This record gives sequence, C-alpha cells and structure tokens, in this order.
Amino acid sequence: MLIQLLSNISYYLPECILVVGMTLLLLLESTYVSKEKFRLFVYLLALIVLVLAFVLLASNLDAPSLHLFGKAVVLDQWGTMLKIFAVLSTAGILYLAYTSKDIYQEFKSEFIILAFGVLIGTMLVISSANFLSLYIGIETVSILSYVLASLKKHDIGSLESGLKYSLFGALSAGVMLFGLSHLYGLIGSLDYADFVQKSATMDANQLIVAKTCIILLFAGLGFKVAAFPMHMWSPDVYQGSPTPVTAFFATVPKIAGVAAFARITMLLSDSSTDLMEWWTHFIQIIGIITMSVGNLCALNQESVKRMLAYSSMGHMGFIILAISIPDKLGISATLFYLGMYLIMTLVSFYVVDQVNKEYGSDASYFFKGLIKKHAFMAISFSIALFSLAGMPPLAGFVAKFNILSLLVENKFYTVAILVALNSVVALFYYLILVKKAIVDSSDDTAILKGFTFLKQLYICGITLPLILFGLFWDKIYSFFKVLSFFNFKM
Amino acid sequence: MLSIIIFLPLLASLLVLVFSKEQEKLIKQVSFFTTLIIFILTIVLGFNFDFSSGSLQNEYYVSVPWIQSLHINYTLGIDGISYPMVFLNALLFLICMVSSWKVEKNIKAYFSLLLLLQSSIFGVFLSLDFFLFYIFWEVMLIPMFFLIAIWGGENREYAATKFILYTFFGSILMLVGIIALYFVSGQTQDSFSIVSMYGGKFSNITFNVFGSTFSFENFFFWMLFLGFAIKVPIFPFHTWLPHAHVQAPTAVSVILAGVLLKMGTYGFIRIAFPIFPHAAQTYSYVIAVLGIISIVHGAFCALAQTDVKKLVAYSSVSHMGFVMLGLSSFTPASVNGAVMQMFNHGTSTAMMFLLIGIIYDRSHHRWIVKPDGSRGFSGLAIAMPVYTIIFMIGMFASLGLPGLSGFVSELLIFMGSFQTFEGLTILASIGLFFGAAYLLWMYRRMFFGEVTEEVKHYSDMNFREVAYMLPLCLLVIYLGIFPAPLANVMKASVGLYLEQFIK
Repeated sequence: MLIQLLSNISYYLPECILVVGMTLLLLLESTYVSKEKFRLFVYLLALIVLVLAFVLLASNLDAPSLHLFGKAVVLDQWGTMLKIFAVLSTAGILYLAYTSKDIYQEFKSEFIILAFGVLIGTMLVISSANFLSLYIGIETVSILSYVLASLKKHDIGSLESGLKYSLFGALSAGVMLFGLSHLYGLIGSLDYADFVQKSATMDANQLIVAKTCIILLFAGLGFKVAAFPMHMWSPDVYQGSPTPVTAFFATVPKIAGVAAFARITMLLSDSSTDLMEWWTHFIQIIGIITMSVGNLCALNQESVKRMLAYSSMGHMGFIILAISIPDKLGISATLFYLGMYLIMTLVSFYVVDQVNKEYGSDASYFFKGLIKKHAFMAISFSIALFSLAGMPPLAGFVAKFNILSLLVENKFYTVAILVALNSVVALFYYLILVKKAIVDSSDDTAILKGFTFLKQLYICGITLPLILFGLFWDKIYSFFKVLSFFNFKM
Repeated sequence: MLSIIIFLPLLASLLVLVFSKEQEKLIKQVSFFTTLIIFILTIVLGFNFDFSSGSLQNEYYVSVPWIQSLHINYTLGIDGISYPMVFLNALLFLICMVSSWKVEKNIKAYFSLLLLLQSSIFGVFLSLDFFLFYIFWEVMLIPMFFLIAIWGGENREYAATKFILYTFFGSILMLVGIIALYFVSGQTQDSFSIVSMYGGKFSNITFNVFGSTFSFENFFFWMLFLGFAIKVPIFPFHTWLPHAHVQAPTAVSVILAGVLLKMGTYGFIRIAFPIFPHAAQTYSYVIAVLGIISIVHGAFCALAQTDVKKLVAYSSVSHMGFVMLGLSSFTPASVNGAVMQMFNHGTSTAMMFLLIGIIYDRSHHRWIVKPDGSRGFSGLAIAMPVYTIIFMIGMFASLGLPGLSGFVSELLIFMGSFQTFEGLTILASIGLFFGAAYLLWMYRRMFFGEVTEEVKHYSDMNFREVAYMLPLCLLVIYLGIFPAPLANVMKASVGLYLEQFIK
C-alpha cells in the first residue's frame, strides 16, 4: 500500500512542486516581509516554480490513464492538459499582479501564495475520481478565493465582495455536501467507479434519488462557474475585487468548475444511458439560460469589470452546452474553447487594469478615446473583445464554430440557433466597448502611462495567438481531440 | 493569381499602417497604385478567360487542404458569374481611392481599412469553400463598422451599429446552416466545398424537433435565405440600408451600394439556390413577391425623400428588387438580366453616390428641400454645367433610359420574368414608372429653377473629379449601346447554373 502510494507520487510531482513552492514562498514572505526588493524575488521564484510544474505536466502528457492514491484521483491526458491551462493562466496573471496598483504592496506576496493554493485546489478538482476529493478541491479553491476577494482590506467594495462570496459559497457547499451525503447513502462509497457500477442496477426509485443528488451537486459546482441560479455573486465579486484577483477569478476557478462538470459528464456517460440523457437535457436548459442571462445582463453595465463578469457567464454557458453532448464528444471542444477563452480574458484584463490604474475606476467612460492614448493597447484590446464576441478570423470564432458544429452534428438545431442569437447579443456589448475605445474621443488626451516596453511586448505576445489560432487551428484542434480520446473510463 | 488578387490589398493595408502619419502623400499613392495594379490584374484575368465554357476556369482554380480535421480546404475559383463582380470591385475601389484623395481625418487608418475591405470582398467573390467564404463574409464587417463610425455623418454611430448587428445576425444563422450542410452530407472530403453541394441532394432528409417533422431542405433554405436577404436587402430586412448609406462617407457609400449589396445576390446565385433547388423553385413565388414589394416600396419611399442621399439609397433597394425578381424567375433571360443588372446597378449607383459626394464637398448638406422648408439645391445647372451633364448620365442610367446600360438589364429581367410571373412583372413595371418619377423630380428640383445665393458660389467639377467620373460614364454609355461584351461574359455560366433547375 505504502509502496503504491510512493510510486504514485511520481505522477503527482507537479502538484508536489507547487505545494513545496507555496510553502517556501510562505516561509520567505513571513521572514522578509518588509523588504521592497524582495517582492520581485518572490514573484520570480513563483514563476520558476510554475515553469517547473509546467515542464513536469508536459512530460506527464503521454502517461497512460490510471487511478492514483487508491482511486481518489485519476490521471489522464485530458486532465493533464487542463492542469497545464491552469498553470499557464496563473503564470500569465503573475505579471499583472506584480505591476498592479490595485493590490497593496504589502499584500502582493500574499496574493501569489493564495493563488498557488487555488491552483493546487483546481488541480485536485480536475483529476478527482472520488466525490470527497472533488469536495476538498472545490472547498480549497473557494475558501482561498474568499480571502483573495477581500485582499484590499481598506476598501469597502472589496470587503463586501469577499463577504458575499463566502456566504454564497458556504450555502452552495452545504447544499452540495447534503447531496453528496445522500449519494453516499445510495451507493455505499464515494468513488466514481462505484457509482458507475451501482447505476447499472438501480431501479426507478433509486434513479430518482440519484438524479436529485446530482442536481444538489450541480448547485455546488454551478456556483463556481456562475451557472444560472447560482450566478448572483459573480458581478458583485468581480467588480469589488482588485483587478488582478478578478482576472484570476475569471480564469483558474472557472477551469475547476468546468473540469468538475466534465468529469460528471464522463461519469454519467459511463453509467446508464437514462441518466446521461436526463443530464443532457438538464444541463442544456441550464446552459441556455446561463448564456442568455449572462449576455442580456451585460448589455447595460457601466463598469467594465462587471460587464466582463456577465460576459464570462455567457461563455461558461457555451461551455456547459458543449459539455452536455452525450458520449463525451464535447470535451475536446470544451478544451479548445477554454484555452482560447483564457487568452482573451487575460488580454482584456491587462488593459482594464491599466485604465483602472490611471483613472481609479473601471467605468467604461474612461475607455473613451483609448486609441489616441495608446494605439497598440487599444488595438490589442479590440482584438481581444472581437475574439470574445466570436468574429472571424479570430480564435474566439473558431472556438464558437467548434461548439456549434458539435451541437449541429448531434442534431440539437434549436440549441444551435439560440447560441447564434446569443452571439449577436454578445457582439453588441463588446462593440460598445470597442466603439468607446476606438471611435469616441475623450476630453483628456494624455498618453496612457505605465505601459512599459516589456508589458507591451507581453500583451502583443498574448494577442498574437488569437490571430494565429484563428487562421491555423488544425494541429491544435486535432491534438486536443487526441488528448480527449484518452479520457478516463471510470 | 486569384490569391494575389485577394491578398495584395491586405498586404498593402498592413504596409500603410507602417508609415507615419505625416507621410500622407505616400499613403495615398501606395493605396492608389495597389488598386491600380489589382485592376490591371483583373483585366489580364479577363483576357485569359475562356468565356464560352461557363464552368470554373481550370487555370485559376486553387484547392489546398487547410484544416484537415474538418475537411476544410482553401479553394478559390472564378467563372462567368463571379468575374463581373470581381471586375466591378476592382474598378470601384480604384475610383474610390481617387475620390478619397481629400480625406483629412486619420488618413492612415482610412486607407488601411479601405484596403482591408477590398481584400475581404474579393475573398467572398472568389472563394469556393464554405468556411473560407464565411470568414471573408464576416471580415468585411469590421472595416465597414469603423469606416462608417469614424468618418461618417451626424448619426454615424447608430447607422454603423445597426449595420453590423443586423448583418451579423443574418450571417450567424447562415453559419448554422453551413455547419448543418457539412454534417448532413457526411463529413467527407468535399463536405465544405460549395460546388460539391449542388444538385439538390438534400430533398429527402427530414428531422424532428419537439415531435414535429421538418424538411431539412426547406428549413435550411430559409436560414440561408435570411442571411443573404439581409445583405441584398429584400423588403422586410432593408431598414439598415438608408441609415448606413446616408451616414457613410462618400467612398464607403459607393462600395456599400456598388459591391456589398451584390454580395447578397451573389450568395443567392452561388449558394442558396443551387444547393436547395427544389425549395428555391417551390418558394420562388414568395421570393418574387418580396422582390416586387422591394421595388414598389423602395420607389415610394424614395419619392418622399428630401435628402438626396437617402433618395438614392432607397433607389438601391428598388433596383435590387429587380435583381431578386430576375433571380427567382429561373429563365435564361431573367437570370442573365439579373446578373447584368448587378453589374450595371453597381456602376450607375456608384456614379450617383460619387456625384452626391461632389456636391456635399461644396455645400456640406444634402437637402433638396431643407427641413425648414426653404430650398436646398436649386438651379445647379447654371452654376455647375459639367456637373449637370454627368449627373444626367448617372441619373438616366439609374432610371433605365434606353441607350444606357440600365435599360438592357432591366429589359432582360422583364422579358424573362414575364414568362414565369406575368402579374408580378406588370406590378414591377409600375415600380419602374415610379423610379423614373422620383429621379426626374429630384433632377428638376436640384438643377433647374431659380439659382439660390449659396449655389452661386459653388465651383464646377475640377480635373480630378472629372477624371474619376469619366470611366464610369463611358462604361455606362458603352454598355448601353453594345451590351454584348458583358452578356457574353456571363451567358455560359448562367446556362450551366440554370441546368440544375427543372424547367
């Protein structure tokens, strides 16, 4: 048993490196808290740890699918790719957090430590094969997120958002645990594999209980992703948190939520077909409502961070629709969409942070005339926004195209038409922002300071994949498809 | 060769961005020479063309695998139906470059966006793969939005936003239709290729939604129809057009009216009708009725206008109604007439918008009768005689006077559609009558009558303006007297196209 555990750690090295790194950063931070130059060292160390984790994950990509740690977690290529996305997103946010004025200087290292914690929790959720490890992972992500949301200790908006997030999160975690406990009572164990086995022999009454438990479980997971009935926290928390924290919330915890949903789809598609059909219908309705509410509510927002919260809800709606496809066909489209979504979100938050730094507020009024103040950044911002809206020839269009293809292939024509209509609505609010940035002129024409050469290079560097992947996406798409083929059979 | 035609303006567009703001002359010269080179390439293309064959020219056909996992290929081709459109595009952009010489604001961005627009329009007319076609179709929207929203008139943001949202709505529904076609035809090597879908293979497929059965062909025909109908524009979907045309700057209005509207009807000929021939013929009466309503409604709206640019915009709605009538009649004469009308309307409406731009440069308003009731343009014939003559040629071409090009195409449409829809054709001729009415009334009010104070000070057309109006004038007169060159270009391809439809 012990030998098996120790040999499993060899596959779990990335997480171990992250835990060791987090502990090291914590120790260093508490020892040298007052030194200024030290912050740069902490961030560089964090970057090195993340790069190491990335290298280890990339080497795990061709490992076979297997259960680790006595069926608590599963290792498969699809999951490893998602973990790579999470690590890369965190690395992407590092530079933003380092140069942002939205986090107080003394808390900058705390941000990175907490972010590492959330990352480790995300990786646990991605590879969970047991309802309890799923719960632990979700709770790790959530609790550390509550602290992250209220990082600006002297700002009432930040404190309010932390409070709202924690209250809401506690409620949904309680509901999820309630459902899980009944599921345990139904099946007798918390492993996914046992669920699959038991579901083959469930009678009608037991199926009803199982479905109810899955709905309660959905309440907990949908909270993370801001799916329909559990989305109310999202705009307030996004608006109140410091901008790097918002950028982090829009990327890494969403990966956790999407991964959890996808694992449930994999679980249910390996179980009885009755459950999977029911899940498809249920999650499609949720996806449609999430997408519509997100897109419609974003239309009228003054604050850009709030608008991005609602728009990210709309995108999660698309991904939920992709996950709903039976037979696990949707998970490669999910991977592709999630990857493109992360890049686009990063770019837009970099520019939002800069405007916030300059004007002290993220109201869309301050984006007017961005093209006169800094042409390069305005153009990158517009490319990111058009990509989020789904305009060809950018990456966001390709991602949307793949999801539409999936829906049409499985003959969900009404859903496809609803996705199309939502895209038109989405274009409108992104267009307003682009119009403010490029067409309108503002009263003060000072050049937007603070974009150092390195930052400009960085932002252009992340915008370039949006154009490249919009035109030459064959290799990446087939690569993701191959990875998803090797997802775990529970 | 075709790839050069598509991507050369794109490269020039990026090149223009590299120049600094002060090098105005250089930017304008680069743009002008790029469009000149493209125009010469188009003429060379025409000389090497075998117009009698009618099928895609093998010499210029390009097909390269692009996205293998979804069988998307980079396929380009040209035949007798797309060649007039390509030629029109090249010619109109060349003229627009000369007409835009006096733009003051943000020159670099303006010419860069215009060149990008030209590139994507060429892509639409030349691509033969659905995905490629869709990408070029959508890429065209972004430069149009910025061109109207930055350099346009007073209400430009409303017009630009309405244009882009309305068109995007149509095209994304078209995308769902395209994807459905791919999956229904079995995801084989050819499934994204437009040409391989011809022939009505989808007539027997049905699908179930919420218990009721729909015919695949009918449902997706209407989805594709919606996408193209918003572009043309056909009657209920035309409300974006007056705003977009009026608020856009001159050169952009010319491109919008001269080429973009033709993209919609080209979509019908190339995609919607041949892929769903049974549905097209079943619903041809409905489409013809919508065409007639466009003609008559457009003409009546134009009669009521006091803003001359809006009047010409509504006349565009009316003329595209003729094209739809011709296309839905499925006879050789009517379809030939429709394609010819696409080219001729492009030239005559381009002339009208350019002329309005010339007078706008002098007067900074477009009123025939000002909102407070006083006279707007009046007695222009005394102040600007050369302008009067050229405006007369443009107006009569638009009207369809025999001797100018508009007459030939409209005659062919009427002759063809009378064979299929007698009553509707008679109604269409009422539209023709009102077309003459609003144009002649406009001409009388603007040019004759007393010379007002402000009109006395307008200078006549200078050399540059005459230079860019002259090619269109000569083309319109020449094609009116000898329409054979244009007719020969498209005859064989239209014949090939019509073979798919049951006589």
